Amino acid sequence: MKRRSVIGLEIHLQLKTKTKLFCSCSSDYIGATPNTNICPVCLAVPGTLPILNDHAVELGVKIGLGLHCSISDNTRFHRKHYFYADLPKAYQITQYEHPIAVGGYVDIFADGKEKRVRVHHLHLEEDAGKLVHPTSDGRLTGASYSLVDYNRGGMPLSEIVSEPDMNSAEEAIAYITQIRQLARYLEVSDGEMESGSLRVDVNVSLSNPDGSLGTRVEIKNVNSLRSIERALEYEIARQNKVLDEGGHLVQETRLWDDVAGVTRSMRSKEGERDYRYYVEMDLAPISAGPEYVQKIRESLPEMPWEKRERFISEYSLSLEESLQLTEQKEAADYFEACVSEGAPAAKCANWMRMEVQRILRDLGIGINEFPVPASELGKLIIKVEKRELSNTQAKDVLAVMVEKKASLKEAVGLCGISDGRITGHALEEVIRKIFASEPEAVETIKSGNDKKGAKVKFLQGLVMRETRGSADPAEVASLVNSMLG
Amino acid sequence: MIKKMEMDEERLREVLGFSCIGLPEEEYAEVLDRVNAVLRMCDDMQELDSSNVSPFEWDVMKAPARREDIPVTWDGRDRFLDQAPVRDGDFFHVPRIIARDDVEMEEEE
Amino acid sequence: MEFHKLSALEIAEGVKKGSWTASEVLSAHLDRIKKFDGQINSVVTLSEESAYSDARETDNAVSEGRDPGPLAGVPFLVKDNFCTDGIRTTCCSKMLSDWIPDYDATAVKRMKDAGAVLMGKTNMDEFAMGSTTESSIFGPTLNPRDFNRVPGGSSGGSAAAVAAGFCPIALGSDTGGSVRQPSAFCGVQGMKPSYGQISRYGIVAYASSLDQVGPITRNIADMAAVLGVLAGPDPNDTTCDAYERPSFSETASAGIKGKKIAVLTGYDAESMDSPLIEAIEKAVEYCRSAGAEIVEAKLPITMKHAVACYYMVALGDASSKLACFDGMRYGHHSDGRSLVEMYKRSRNQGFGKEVRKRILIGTCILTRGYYENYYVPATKVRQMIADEYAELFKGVDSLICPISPALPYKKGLVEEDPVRMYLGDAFSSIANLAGLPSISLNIGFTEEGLPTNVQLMGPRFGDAGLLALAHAIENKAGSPPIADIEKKGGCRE
Repeated sequence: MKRRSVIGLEIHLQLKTKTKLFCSCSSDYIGATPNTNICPVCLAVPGTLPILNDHAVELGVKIGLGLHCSISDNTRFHRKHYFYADLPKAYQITQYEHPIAVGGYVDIFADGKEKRVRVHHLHLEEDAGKLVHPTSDGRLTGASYSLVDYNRGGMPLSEIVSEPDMNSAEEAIAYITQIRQLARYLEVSDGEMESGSLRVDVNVSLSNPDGSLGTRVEIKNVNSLRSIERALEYEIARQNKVLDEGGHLVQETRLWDDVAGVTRSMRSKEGERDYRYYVEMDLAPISAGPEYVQKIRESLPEMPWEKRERFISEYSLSLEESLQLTEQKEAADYFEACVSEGAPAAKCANWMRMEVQRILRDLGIGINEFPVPASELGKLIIKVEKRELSNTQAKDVLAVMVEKKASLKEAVGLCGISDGRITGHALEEVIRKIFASEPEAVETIKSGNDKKGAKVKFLQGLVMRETRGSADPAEVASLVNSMLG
Repeated sequence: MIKKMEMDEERLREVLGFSCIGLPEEEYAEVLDRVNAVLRMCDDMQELDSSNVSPFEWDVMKAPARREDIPVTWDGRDRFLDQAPVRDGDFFHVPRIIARDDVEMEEEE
Repeated sequence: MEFHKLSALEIAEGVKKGSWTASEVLSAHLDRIKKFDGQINSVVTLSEESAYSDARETDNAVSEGRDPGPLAGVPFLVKDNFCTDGIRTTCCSKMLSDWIPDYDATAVKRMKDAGAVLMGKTNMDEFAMGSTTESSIFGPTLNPRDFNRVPGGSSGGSAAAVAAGFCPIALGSDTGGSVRQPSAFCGVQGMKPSYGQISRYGIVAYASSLDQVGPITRNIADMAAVLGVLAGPDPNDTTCDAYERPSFSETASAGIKGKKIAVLTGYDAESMDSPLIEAIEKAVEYCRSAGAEIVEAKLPITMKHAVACYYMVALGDASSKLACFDGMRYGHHSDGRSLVEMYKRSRNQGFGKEVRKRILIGTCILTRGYYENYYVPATKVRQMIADEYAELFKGVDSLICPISPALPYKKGLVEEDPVRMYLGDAFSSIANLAGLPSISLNIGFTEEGLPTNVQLMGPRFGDAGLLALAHAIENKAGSPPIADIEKKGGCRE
């Protein structure tokens, strides 16, 4: 029996600050020698106190606003107590009651339709250190000892908790993708699952026939979108099977095993963990009053959905085109810079979605590393519009611009297309094309049957027409003759 | 209406686990007596009507400015590691996190 | 010149004038400590080399015509829960018996920057948990006024050192009376400034919202000078208020003419030792003769509920702040076959019995069910207590009340009278709960030579006004003399 899947997601975004949440250690810890990005505060040396990072609050408010949340003033941090090797204070400073942002939403596209997923809240908290286990698969099971690296300990996180509004893996992926996009648009986080700046815990249950929520299972250790998809698929099937066979589900946390493709129950302590949350009195309430929030609101860039709508109306793009172009803010900016050169929007869109996209994919780079400035691409497109270049020629030119990091002018020269004139290799190419389209004429000439040279003249004429008069007739004649052999 | 709660041995055993502290069984009673004495003192608080009172907050005269986001490198790292009881090269070394007869959470990060 | 008999300000003035050097002054105090502290046991770590080095710096500044600071050459001691760079900081516990921090607490740094000379660390109850300084791994401290009695606690070492003339200034920490009660037992002046007055950075924490650095001196002018040096915002402690402090030294001599002073009533005075009641009466008289108006005040919510409230907050927070001691990064380490076993062994062996019990009690209070039904209501009652005081101080400038219901206890005696136990905790903890400034001021001594102190309290951040009141009373009562430790046994029969 197919029951309705109910999915909620907790997303941890590492905030893009320069320092940790409660100390001035650098946030640039990836790749650093273990335990070099530490200080007495994040090591919990006796006598030290946490000192809140102003920029982290700003970024938290930013993303809260992007999620359409209301921002609360004077919220508190709390201590979450437990003993573990990666937690020096034996408590994590987080927010428990009254988080900094509440009641927002994210609009997603999934399963062919638009849907609004509600955000319950967003709160700030510090990250824990990292453990290294000397096992063959690097996992904790079977490790006879572990090594602790506190470099990451104290990094600022914003945890975004959704309502259980999603009902399919596709919706879950769409939600995560939207949040990631928003985080990057706002420059609040890199939002990369691979490097750990975006982490997801999945909650899934199957609703009962009467519509009430079923037993909720939390899934941890899903480190990529693909893993989340597979884990949800597996877990939903598992839960259905258990219920179909008349069994009972247990409210528990399960780990996703990416290799085996299954979720496994975590052996949990007898009795639930009691984190003994209470107010962190070493820190003052977080001041985030209406004026402060308004200032941040005014500084927000255009949101992804705003840009999407504007591209459709302002540039007469289709939804699909707009979606693709606005997926990354950098690409959208590039597009607009291109258009502002004077190139038609539709053509710019096409060029970006086809040629540019192909080149980026082939080179394995992002739009930020694309060596052709938007203005140059714009000028190239204008040339095509003015028929100074054919489409094919333009693609060649672009290829040269990328390969040789040449300007438009240089690349045109290198391709043998003089400014406004088609010459050299480019002209030869046109001639070859004409020859290919008129095989009988070529055959006649080559077999020596073109006594009056009418066929030659015919071909030359075609070449002139093809190049729209931008070729030198003498050069055309000489090349045609030489190429005919 | 707050119920009058009495701490029992079961909770104390849990607390021993939460706090990673040991206590010989013969001393359980003393600790429970002390906890319960404190709780009994708190029972009297129920006579106060604190329904319109929010939990304690300081009156701040002037809040200090929040910390600017400027990285600072600590120069005491090497000395600290030299003195750390469980130092293992660049790391801190801990024994097996999951013991055979110990029930612990398997946290993967 | 008997340097140990000089006040801090007198020493500083002499150093600045060139009448004597910081090194001479230091030498005299160190000699006294070495001669007499063997019995009293107030100092747990004497740091002579660094002290002479600091003294030389002050002397160099003077000889080079630079300003050596307001406390130039004044020797001082700090409680062993103050982090001191290069000097072991043990909290008198096995857990930290070998720990040497590489930084100075802000309070220590500011004293040094003011020209004062750090001589070493004083004895305390282990991790500040106690009120007799009998739970230290270094053994108990004796009361310089009577070697058969305790000096109070947990800052017993600091209070005893000042009373014995080992230094004119010592610093302690006050979470629920830990500076003021030992000051009362040892017959010296002790202050707990307003919460947020002095940075807590570098003080090994007991309870985040109760702890405050407390200076101990033999006179109020010195007290005001120290407060002026220590108070002020610190980027390392955001709970330290950034308001602009007045000059405490200047305002201390403002007098109390026309001020309205309340005397606390409504508690069971019968259970108190009568000399302490007389001390209150004397203090009141002195205030009247200095031109103040005296009224009575009752604080029903406070007197009834402060103790319960205090226990909730202090024990809960202590269990939390002591959780970082796990044997991994610093402190006592014991091996274990598993992570949890390592934690348990390190903590069980590092912490003494009383500390372990308090951690357990505090953890219990914060667990599910008890937190909602007891801890949270206590935080509301705390606000009600603070409100009750705020209301009081709308109408009066200061409050006089006892600091302790009892004269200093005999060694090893456990207070059994529940009313006295209760009152003791009540009087001393209320200032911490509401964050008010409080001074434990010596009024006189009994015939047996035991000190009688009273407590003065003011509105939050009314430290300057409170010092003025203390100064005015001290003008009449006189500042306490150094204990007669030269006489064997210390106390007259």
